[in-house]
This record gives sequence, structure tokens and C-alpha cells, in this order.
Amino acid sequence: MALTPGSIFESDTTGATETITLSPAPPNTSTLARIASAFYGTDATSTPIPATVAADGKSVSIKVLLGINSLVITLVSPSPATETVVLGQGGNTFATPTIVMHSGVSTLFIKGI
Amino acid sequence: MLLRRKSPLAKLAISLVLCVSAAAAAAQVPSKQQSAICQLHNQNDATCRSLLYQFVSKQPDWQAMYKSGVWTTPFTSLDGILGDTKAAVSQELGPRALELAITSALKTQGSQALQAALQTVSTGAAVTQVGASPTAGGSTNLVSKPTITDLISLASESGAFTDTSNGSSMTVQTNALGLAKFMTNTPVFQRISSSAADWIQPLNFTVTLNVAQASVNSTATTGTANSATPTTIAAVLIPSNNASFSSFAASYTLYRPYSPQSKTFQGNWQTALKSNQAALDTATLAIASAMDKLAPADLVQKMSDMQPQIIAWHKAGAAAVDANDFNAFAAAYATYEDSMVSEILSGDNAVANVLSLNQAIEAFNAATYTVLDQARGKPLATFSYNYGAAGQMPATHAFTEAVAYVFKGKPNEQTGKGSFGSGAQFTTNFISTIYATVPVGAAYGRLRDLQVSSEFDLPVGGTIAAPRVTFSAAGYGQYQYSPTVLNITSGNLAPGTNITLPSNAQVLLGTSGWLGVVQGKAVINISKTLSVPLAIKWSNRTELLQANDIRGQFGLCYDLSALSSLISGSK
Repeated sequence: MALTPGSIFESDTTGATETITLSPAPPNTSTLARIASAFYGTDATSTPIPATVAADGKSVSIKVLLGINSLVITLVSPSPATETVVLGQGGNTFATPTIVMHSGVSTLFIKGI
Repeated sequence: MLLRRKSPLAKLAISLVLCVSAAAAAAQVPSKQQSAICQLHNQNDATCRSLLYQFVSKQPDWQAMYKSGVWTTPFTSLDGILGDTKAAVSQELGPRALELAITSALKTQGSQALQAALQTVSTGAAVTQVGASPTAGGSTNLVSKPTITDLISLASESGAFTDTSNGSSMTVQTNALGLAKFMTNTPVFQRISSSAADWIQPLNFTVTLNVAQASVNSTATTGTANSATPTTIAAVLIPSNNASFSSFAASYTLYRPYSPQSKTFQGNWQTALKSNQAALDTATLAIASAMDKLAPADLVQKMSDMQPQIIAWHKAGAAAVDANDFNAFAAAYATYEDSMVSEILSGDNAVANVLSLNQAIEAFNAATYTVLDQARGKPLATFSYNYGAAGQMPATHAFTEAVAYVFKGKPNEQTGKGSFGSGAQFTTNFISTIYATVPVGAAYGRLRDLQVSSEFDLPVGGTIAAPRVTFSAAGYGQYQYSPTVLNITSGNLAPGTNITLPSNAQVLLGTSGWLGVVQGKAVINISKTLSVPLAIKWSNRTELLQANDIRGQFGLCYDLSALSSLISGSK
């Protein structure tokens, strides 16, 4: 399965497991940035639910929930250089957040159908 | 396998590929003109980079969209303006929310938060050396720090110091790798994956000049100007300033954790990340909660339903890419972004929710600083060589070992401020100085002196990264084996006589033995790039002074590495 990209939100079948990867924005071929933490959707008490971040900090996996939910991804980098990175899946780019002062934040909206 | 020589056509193809690669490499960092365009359309540096990435990349293929005339697909990662949440909040949402709040106090807070976000340099992590070394006349430093600027720094200082040579000095310091990056149009803080870069990164150079020292030139007269002037005046002394070389130093930092070039630092960074995972999760949870309140599902659906605005942006963006017009591209996005921000701010309690989101992002920034702080909290050491040739003194070679320890402290995740002692630094120097040459028959030996000094620096006020003031207390001890030697050049009078010296001479001053100095200093950080050091010190030796033995000093120091974005890489 793969997320279907859209202007404001990506969409997918509810219950599907999807992985979104962090990669350098061309022309960079590598990045020191990594995903610090991620939360997707909310539980019964409206508290955001932790998403699964890979050990290397280069991807995050979610199980698509019904309806529109936000996936908030925080990024960190040991480099003080301002750097743009790509969050996407396969050949699709969902967001291009820029890391400033060692940190960045990205929000993707995902609609489960 | 047979190797064949490349044909001229193949060489041309390779050249073209290299040219395209160079253009792509140049693309991610906006040129001065592109930055100006972004500013014109109220886009900050982060969004400007994303715009540039979209403008030059094939992701999506804007030109295919332009040719097909289908404006709803492909989608662009800029459509979701919250894809770069930090940039959107700091650039558009935050300021607009503050405007809506209509309180000048809130506007001020927003402005200050933005200023703080813009001020970051790696040199801010440790107390760095900006002024002259302790052996330079006029220096306000009693102790050499292991770290200096990442690019170039300037310092002008005036006053007395540990040596017998008083005066004003101008110090220029530079980092070898910072200079190399500047010369090759590479951003100063961008990591270069090269072992050579790792080797030269800790190498720093310092040149100190004596300035504004009184001097006179003997100038021949060409006649009398009136009848009352004696005709015997053949020459007069004309006052002049004498800016002269004082010292040159090369230093090598043996271990500096807070540098993205350092593999050791990267290892410390990974360790610190793991130990702070809970704090990062908490901060991210707060951002996610704030985002859920700001952009609930029904609002996101409304944004998605704004097809006329989305199509207009895609049309104008694709046309701009086809015409290679970055200004039109940025303008099209600015119009689209404005409509989306208006929609977000139309939600219930939107202003308060934006401010909550901004606060949550600031807390996350503070958490990332905790990671940095832990990664850098290791001892630093630098070995340096200094060649000194102050005007009236014989040339010397000085060898310095500087060791420092940075205290971690625990910053407040909400404010970015540290607990008392956070970022404090304890530095110790061991210095040995020898004379460069010893004349035949000299009354002194090769070894001039041994020195030991320590300093404790305590940042106060502001945040750990940008303290308002850094207070310092320092002690300096020097054992001088023989009296100080002063050079007297030919043409001067021998001391206490009316005899003009026919050639250069040296005299001894009664300064052998122990010299002790204690100093209190406050460095007022006006900005990340500009600081004013004020110092007062006391010495146990006063025989060479005409005034009281308590002296005050001041200086003005600039660290240009904080301005690297302004002077690096225009394409």
C-alpha cells in the first residue's frame, strides 16, 4: 500500500500500515538530520498517539486511522546549518521542512477512507 | 576490462552533467537576489529554500503540469503550508495571530522570539576567545580560551596587561576551515565530508597589531615662515601613529565537542538524543496537541475544498517555472499561503491556538538545546604557538596549553533559560615563553618565564545560547627568570642621560620574580555578533606603573561567523 498524495492531505485505506521516510533534499546526498519523535491521531481522551520511529531516526510508521488526522513529526540535527529535508514515500514528496537551529517540525494530514 | 579514452563528445557530455550538477548544488541555498525576492514576498529563509527546491526540482514536474493543463495534479509539497510547521508559524501564522490579538505586548514578544530564533552560531555554545592573547599589550583577556570564532572575529581593546608593554591592540582571528568554506562559496556551518576538512577545522590563526601608539617622525624644514623664526631649525618632529605588528599565533584545538565537523561530537549527540528521548517526546506531544486544536479535521477538509485557490497557485507556479521566473513563483505561493492562513485563522480560538503552538515549538527548540548542551559538556584542550614581537621588547616564542571544562546545567524547556551555572566554563592555561634570540653577552637566558592562569566564566541573563552578560573571575601567575628586557633603538637617548644611542641597545627592568594578577570582567553581549568586554584588574607588581595599580579596560569585539549567511555563497 502507499499513501495517495493530495494538496492538503494524503489518503489511504483505514488500517493500512505506512512508512514515511526522511531523506536529504537534492542536491544534498546525505543528511545528519533525524526524526526525534512523532505523533499521529488521538486516542479516546483526545491525546495524540505516539507513532513508531525507526531506530536510525530516518523513518516513521503509522497505521492509518479513519478520517482526517494529523501526523506531527519533529526533526533534529547536530548541524547548526539550515537544511531542507524531504518527508515522503517512494517517489512522492509530502513535505519539505527546513531545519533551523538544529530543529524542525512538520505536520502531514492523512485521511483514512 | 579494456579502458578507452573518452571521446570529445563524451567529455562535453560529462562537462554538461557537471554544469547541471553545479547548478543544482547551487540551487538549495538562495542567492542574494532570490533571498531579496523571498523577503519581498514575506517569505523567511526556511520557506525560501523550500520554494527554491520546488522551483528547480522535478518533484513535482511543474512543466509537465503546465503542458498538460491539468492543474489539480500533481500535488506539490508546498500545498500543505503546515508541512514546514516551524516556518509557517514563525513566518506567517504567528505574526498574523499576533496582529489579530492587537496587543503591542504580544507583538513585542513575537518579535523577540523571532530575533532569538534567527541568532544561532556554534560558537555560542562555549565561551570563546575574541580578543587578544594574554601576552598582547592592551588585551582584556587574562586567560586564552580553547575555542575561537568559526570564521573571522575582530577585537579592539585598550588598557594595560600582565606585561610591561601597555597600549591599544587590534586582534583578528580566523578559523582555517571557515576561511576555506568562505573561499569555496560553502555555507560556514555546513559539514564537509572530507578527512582533510576534519583536520583543518581545529586550526585557528590570530594576528594582533599595536595601534594608536604615539610616534614621531623627524622631517627636514625647507625654510623659515617669518622673520622671527631662527634659521637654525633644520628639522622638526611630526607626531604620527604607529600601527605595528605585535604577535602572530597559530592554535590547534585538540578536542572540541561542539562542532558538526567532529565525529566525536556526533557520537555525543547520538548519546544525548537517547538520554533525552522522553523530553523530546513530551515536547512533540505538546506540538501535536496544539496542532489538533488549531487544525481539526473539519478545518483541514475546508482547506482541501479551496480548489480555486489551489488551482490558481498551481497555474501561476507552473507558468513561473516555465518562464524561469522565481519572482512570479514566490508571488504565486505568497498569495496562496495568505489565503490558507486566513482560513486557518478563521477557526475557533485560532489566535490562542497559534500562540499555544508557537510556545510548544519553542519548548521543543529548548529540548533540542538540552541535547546540544549534553553533547558539548566535555573538557576542551588547545595547544597554541605564539610569536610575539611587541615594539619595545625582544621577540618571543610562547607555547600554551589551554584546558577547559563546560558545566552542563539543566535548561528550562519552556524558556530555554538554564539553571544557575548552565554554560559556565572553567579554563586553565599553562604557558612557557622563550626569547627568539639571545644576543652574545646577554645578561639573560633563553627561558623568559613560566605562566599559569585560570578563569571561571559565568553566563547570566537571557538564554544559555545567548546570555546577556558573561561575568568572569581570573587569576594569573607568572614567574620571570630574569628582568624584563626592553629594546631601545638608535637615535633615542640612553635612559637618564643626554647621550644619543648610535645603535640599538637593550636595558633590563627590575621585574624578575613572581607577578600575580587578578581580574574581574564582564562581557556585555549586545548581540550574537557584538560584545563589549569591561575589565578591572589588580597586580602585585607596581614598579613599572605611573598610576594606581588597579586598572580598568574596555574593548569591542565582533564575531563575523554569526553573519555567515550574509557573506557566504552568492551564486
